[in-house]
Amino acid sequence: MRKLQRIIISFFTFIGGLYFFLEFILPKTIGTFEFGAYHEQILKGVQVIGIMAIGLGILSIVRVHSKNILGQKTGWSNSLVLLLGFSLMLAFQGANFLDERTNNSIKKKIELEKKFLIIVDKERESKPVKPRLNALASELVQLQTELSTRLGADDQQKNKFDELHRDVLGVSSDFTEAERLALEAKFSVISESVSSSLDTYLENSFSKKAVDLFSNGLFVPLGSAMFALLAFYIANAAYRSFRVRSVESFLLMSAAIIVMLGQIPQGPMYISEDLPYFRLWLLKNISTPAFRAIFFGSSIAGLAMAIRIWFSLERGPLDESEVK
Amino acid sequence: MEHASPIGAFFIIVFGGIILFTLLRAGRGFNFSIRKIRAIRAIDEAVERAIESGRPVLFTSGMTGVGPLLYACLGILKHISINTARLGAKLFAPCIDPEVFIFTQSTVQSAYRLEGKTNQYDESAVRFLSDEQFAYASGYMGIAHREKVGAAFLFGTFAAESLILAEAGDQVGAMQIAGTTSNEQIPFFITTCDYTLLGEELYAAGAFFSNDPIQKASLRAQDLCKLLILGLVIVGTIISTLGNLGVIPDSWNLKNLLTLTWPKIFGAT
Amino acid sequence: MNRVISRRLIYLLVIVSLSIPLLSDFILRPAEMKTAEDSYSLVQGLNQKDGKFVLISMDFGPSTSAENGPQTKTLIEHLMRRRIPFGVITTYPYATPFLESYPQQIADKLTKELPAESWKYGADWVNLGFQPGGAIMIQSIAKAKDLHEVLKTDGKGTEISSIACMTKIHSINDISVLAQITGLVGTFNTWIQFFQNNDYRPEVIHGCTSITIPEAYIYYATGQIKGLYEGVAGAAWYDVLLSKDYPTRTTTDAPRINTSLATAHLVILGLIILGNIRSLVDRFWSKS
Repeated sequence: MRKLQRIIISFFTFIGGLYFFLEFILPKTIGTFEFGAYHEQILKGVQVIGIMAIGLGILSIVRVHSKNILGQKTGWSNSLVLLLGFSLMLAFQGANFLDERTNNSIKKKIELEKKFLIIVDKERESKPVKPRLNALASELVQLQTELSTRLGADDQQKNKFDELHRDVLGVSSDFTEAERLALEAKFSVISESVSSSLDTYLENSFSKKAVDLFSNGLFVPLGSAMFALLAFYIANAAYRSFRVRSVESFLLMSAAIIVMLGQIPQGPMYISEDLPYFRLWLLKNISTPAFRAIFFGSSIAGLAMAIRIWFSLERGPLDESEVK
Repeated sequence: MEHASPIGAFFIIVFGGIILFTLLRAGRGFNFSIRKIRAIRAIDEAVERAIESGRPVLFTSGMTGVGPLLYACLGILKHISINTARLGAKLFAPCIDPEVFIFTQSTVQSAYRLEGKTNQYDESAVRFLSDEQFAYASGYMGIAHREKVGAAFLFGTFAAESLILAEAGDQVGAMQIAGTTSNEQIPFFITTCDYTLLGEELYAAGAFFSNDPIQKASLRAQDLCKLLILGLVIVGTIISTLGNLGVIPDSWNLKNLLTLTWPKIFGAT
Repeated sequence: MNRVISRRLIYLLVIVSLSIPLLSDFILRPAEMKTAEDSYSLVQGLNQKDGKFVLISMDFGPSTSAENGPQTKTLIEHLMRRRIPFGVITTYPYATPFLESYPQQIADKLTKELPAESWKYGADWVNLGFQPGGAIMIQSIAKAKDLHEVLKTDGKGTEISSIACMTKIHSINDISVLAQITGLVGTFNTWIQFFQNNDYRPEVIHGCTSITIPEAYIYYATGQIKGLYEGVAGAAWYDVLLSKDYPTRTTTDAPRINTSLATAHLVILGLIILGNIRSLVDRFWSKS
């Protein structure tokens, strides 16, 4: 059974690897045939599988910290804060997402109604104009009600909607181009005003403010503070570890000093104006080849590892038949 | 580029061919010897030291995503897990990526199962901290300081948080061994860790632990590919130099070869 | 105990050396950066009338905004002064506040300096927002027959086709320059690899943090990138070049941040030298 399992896994691994290998090696089209025609969809499918893992990660966090809280282990209050923060952020972000979606759907409705005018005009031969415009007018009423429910009473906006409503109903049976353009212009004005009001509503909404507080007020500064720790750690590590004990370390230190002094204002100002050029020479001719060499090495190693995985040539870390 | 150019395809096939040929030779019983790397031997020493002092072991694969590099890191983790299971030490393996978390969990579980110590396996040993770089770093620091780890292993891809992770281990007096293909983080590991594996030495670690002829052959194949690259660099330098001096004709210009496209070879499609 | 004391003293020295230039008017003229000069020449050589567009990919968050922010601001200022239309886009969600604020800040600053002129959203720049998908998204933009079909709306939900500066931009061939500014690892490589099609690749300017400068040089040396901002030092030199051509302008934060960093560099150099002297003395005493 285990052997069959291994054969099946190896077969699908090989097929998957073969697809990606051929998709990269072959030219985009061979005659009229395009091998990677569905490549984007396949990549998206791979991403979707990866995203499922997020659920497992969240389960891990909840499980570990719940155990701490329920078992009253040392530091259980930190676990409580973590789970509380996690839940709150999830709730606020969800509420904000729904708010944004509602806003966007209203904006889209107005755009669609504006485009409907063009469709009515185009299809005037086959479909009568007036009934369709009457339907559009009742849609406008519904939209205005939806907006006032969401944003509250706004006389200015109500007047604009009422005016547009009257104009749509008052259109002649010819529905001339001038009338259509006038209606489109009024739709554009309403669209801009509604967009602006909806954006302001969202900015002032509780969910957005809460998300901003957690995200820009807490999370971002915490991340920046952690990043700022590096400045202190670098100084400490440099003082502790940079010792000249051999010829190589002396060369290394000299190069580092030239590069550092060539980059700061004080170098060309107080030592030599040519320092930036020495620095550029060192970076282009010494550092770059060294980096390239390490890249070559790790890329070839990655290629070798990928071939071993592709052809299932080795017992991997998940294989339980490893020989001691 | 989303598709290989002709010269790119040629080199992939050549390098791939060398690697496959060497691996198949190993499969037929040909054994290769490899030089010792001190840092790799120190991994066992670090685990033993941690156990002697009664302190746990901490492992991280940093920001490594699912791919060949993760496979190499998990090979090292498996070896460490087998040792900790055998000797009864506690192991922590926090993860930044949910997909990697699954792989890491399976690796540690299978190591404990191999040693017949499934009852000693602690589910909370492998945990997902956060997919945010600095949230992960602060979680790692917390584990290092609270548990007072005796040995810390940092293998994989790292970014700015590398120094934070390494300093955390250094502050609690842990023996640290790191290995990364992130070139810009190498200096930070060298200054804060006891041993550092550079670039492909990380991939070589798996071969040492498993004593698998296939993995040793892979190292040999990599060396052959690197020799080939070195040869190409020398040949390219000579051709460019002679070209600049006007000794060889313009038609030998390497740029024409390197910028060749499929439509040029087969005619416009 | 000794070590604990000296670590705290080191931290104190670093705080003091970073703070003094930031809090005072102590600003030094930056060192010359040839790579920043190349970026400047590239932008200076762009033609306003060719109907093309510059795409600025701001793939950085608040943690690296101290370096990447000044790089972006100096570039945006240069483009605005030359009236080259540009779009800002990002593959990193935490960059979205910067997509909105940076161009508007620069536009307000220029309007204050030159009241007779104005810079408007839509006419001079567009915010294309956060585009998820990484490499897939970048490939979609590069392969798109019509960008309006791929991107559809700007960052606020307005249709791209109704935005003035985007009406003539339909494919990658209409993008003259890609300016990729990031502090993240791997993002730049993805743009370099995928933002091209068989016949065309825009010129690339890269803005990076100091740690990734050596890696960026690999691409600079081969000509894959035409210009490079080497951390905040690159932004500071770019600022100097802008001030040469536009003497009435006010500088960005770049020279001040650069001076602050430079002072900290000197402190670290001093600490290294001190550490080596101490180790020599220790070795001498233990021998004797």
